[in-house]
Amino acid sequence: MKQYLANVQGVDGYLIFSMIVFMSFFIGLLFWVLKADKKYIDKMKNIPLN
Amino acid sequence: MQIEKFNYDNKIVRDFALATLIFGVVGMLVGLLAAIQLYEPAANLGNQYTSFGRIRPLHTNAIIFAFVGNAIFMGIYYSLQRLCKARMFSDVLSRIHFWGWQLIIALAAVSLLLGYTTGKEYAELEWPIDIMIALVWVTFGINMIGTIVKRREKQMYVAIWFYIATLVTVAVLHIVNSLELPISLTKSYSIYAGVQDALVQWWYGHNAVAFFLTTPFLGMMYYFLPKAAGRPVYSYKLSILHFWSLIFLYIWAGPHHLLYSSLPDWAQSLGVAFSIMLIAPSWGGMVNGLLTLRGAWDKVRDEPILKMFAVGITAYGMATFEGPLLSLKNVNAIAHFTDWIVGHVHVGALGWNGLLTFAIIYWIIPRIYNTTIYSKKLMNVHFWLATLGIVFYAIPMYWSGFTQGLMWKEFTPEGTLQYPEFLKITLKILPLHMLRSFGGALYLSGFLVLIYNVVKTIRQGKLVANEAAEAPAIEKSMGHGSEFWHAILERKPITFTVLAILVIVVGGAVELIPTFTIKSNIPTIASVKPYTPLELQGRDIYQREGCNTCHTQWIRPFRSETERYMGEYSKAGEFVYDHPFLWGSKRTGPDLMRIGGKYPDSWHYHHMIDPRTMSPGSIMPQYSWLAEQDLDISTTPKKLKAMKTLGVPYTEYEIDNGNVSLKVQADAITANLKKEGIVMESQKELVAVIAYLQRMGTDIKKQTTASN
Repeated sequence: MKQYLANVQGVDGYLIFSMIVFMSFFIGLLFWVLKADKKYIDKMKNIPLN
Repeated sequence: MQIEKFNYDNKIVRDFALATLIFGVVGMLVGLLAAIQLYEPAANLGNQYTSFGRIRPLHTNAIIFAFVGNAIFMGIYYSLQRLCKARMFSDVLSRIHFWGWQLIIALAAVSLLLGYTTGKEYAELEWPIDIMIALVWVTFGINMIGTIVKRREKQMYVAIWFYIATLVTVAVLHIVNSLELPISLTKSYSIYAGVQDALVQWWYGHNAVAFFLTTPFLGMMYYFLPKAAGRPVYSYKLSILHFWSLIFLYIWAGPHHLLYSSLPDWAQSLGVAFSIMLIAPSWGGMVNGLLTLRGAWDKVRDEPILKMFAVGITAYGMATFEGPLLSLKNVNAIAHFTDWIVGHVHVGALGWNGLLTFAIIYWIIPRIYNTTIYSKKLMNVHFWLATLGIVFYAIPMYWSGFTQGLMWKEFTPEGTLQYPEFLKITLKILPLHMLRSFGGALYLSGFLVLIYNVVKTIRQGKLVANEAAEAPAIEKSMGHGSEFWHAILERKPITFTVLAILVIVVGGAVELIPTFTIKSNIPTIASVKPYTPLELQGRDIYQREGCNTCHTQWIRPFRSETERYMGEYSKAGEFVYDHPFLWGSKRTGPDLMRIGGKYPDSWHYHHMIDPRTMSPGSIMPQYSWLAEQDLDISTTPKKLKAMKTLGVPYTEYEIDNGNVSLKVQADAITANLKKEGIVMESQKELVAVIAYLQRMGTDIKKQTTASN
């Protein structure tokens, strides 16, 4: 029984940890991407066509 | 600004393109043979080298590493030079990479047919070839990073990030999953055992799909699709978002291959959660690809290359929607081990990898030969053959998968299994297997049309081995403080590479380390003992013949399975001495976890000599040569010693007397057979296989008996 309990706690711990890591990573990424300079983005987009 | 003149190396691109064509035919032909073997056992050709268990890994390796691998290198060597406005870093490294890779493929083909296999899916090659792969991959890496460093384009375009992610992640995956203890040049044991081995393997297996079959192709899509459509990618911002999210999330999702196994629950839940989240970045890529074609749909109608991109990217979208769906536990309970998974994989392989490869070949070949394509009409014919081939492949597989999954689980109102005979269900789906091989044949015939078209195109043009180009030298100034952070990152390939490694290592570490360090994750079972020397030898033959390609050793905790296989579901503690784990991933035949003691030795003898004598209609190949070949017992002490090094508690006495006890057990089995009128010498390989089969999954029963 102890082992099952340990497993259940494990699920929460690992899931919460990994979600927090990902969400903070993603929100940071989103924030920066939205702030990106439009001129720069347009320049990057056209690299293969130049 | 100084304009520099330089040449693009087109010869290396051409070489990889030709290798793609050759190995595409080989890989698809072997696949077709394997497909036919699944309804016509005579197609195993009655010898060990061409039996399904050895052909299937040859097919998967040929397609993934030879066909798709060469296609990736073709696409990267073409696009990287142009995106960097620079020739490849070193022509010598390019040649070493090319010939090294082809040598690996040749050795792989020979060794797999000879039965040299680690038993781990998509990582079957033995340790000397593993080392060669690592060396050639490093060569490729130096060449690629070297090219990026000496580029004349200040910023790294999105395609290059995908190439970098591919480079570093494949290296990490390959090394971690290939850690083996060699016994000889052709045999090794995985250093991991049982559940841990399974976790590492599927962390690798899943990410091989991610970083060999997905990221390089997304990179190529970002270069070749805008080129072919003559317009920039739909959203560059989306590409930044989906790149980082994709590589972050993918690395965590591996455990969805092990749902309802004895892998700790937390790891399974982690795998499911991240798999579901993966829809977002995967569809980010698909949407970005398809929307690049917005306003250009009139071109799609006339240009077969764009048609191939459109269907290929749609196939990617379907497969990446289906993947998360399949990782939901309730869907997985029905789909896992069935043909549904084979259908899912082929939508990705035939649709996404295949069609994109074809589109890129059609794009590159006329350009490096300074001509136009020989026949646009034949390109259209190819497009339709390939598309119809995918339809005729996928639909029968889905149908067959649902049929299997549901029939395996069907109970009568009285509470007994509706179809207790596994074979009956197999026979029911054979017509669908026939239809599938028709789909495969259509797809292959389309590929032959491509080869004809390409050969004709090559004949009418002349290779521009060194294509002249010019570009201004890169400016030394590195911008100002208020610059967008990703722009800074895109100028620093080494920093970018390190960051990409960090992102993938976090996921891998959180997933793998606890399973290795927390003891309670793998509860031991006192009655589970190491294999006897004869059983160990038998297990190695089981692995050599690829029995695990069709038979699982993994009973899930469902009543339909404990009932069918007459025993308890599989426990983590039962596998602690299994180097490597042989759980399998597909049930073409029934699970064998509790086969031990189910039938007499004589049943196994007859069944292996000709499966159809015991199970009329069975599609299993015969293994009569096992009764003719002598077991190589010279390896016994080495094998036991290696196992001891890996933590299996054999005593010195057991190791020194390994072959003595092996002989005693073998004699007992042959004496047993003799009572049933079967005469077989005890040194034959079949005796060892019978010993292993009879041992399988029985230790746990001793515990039940003892506690009674």
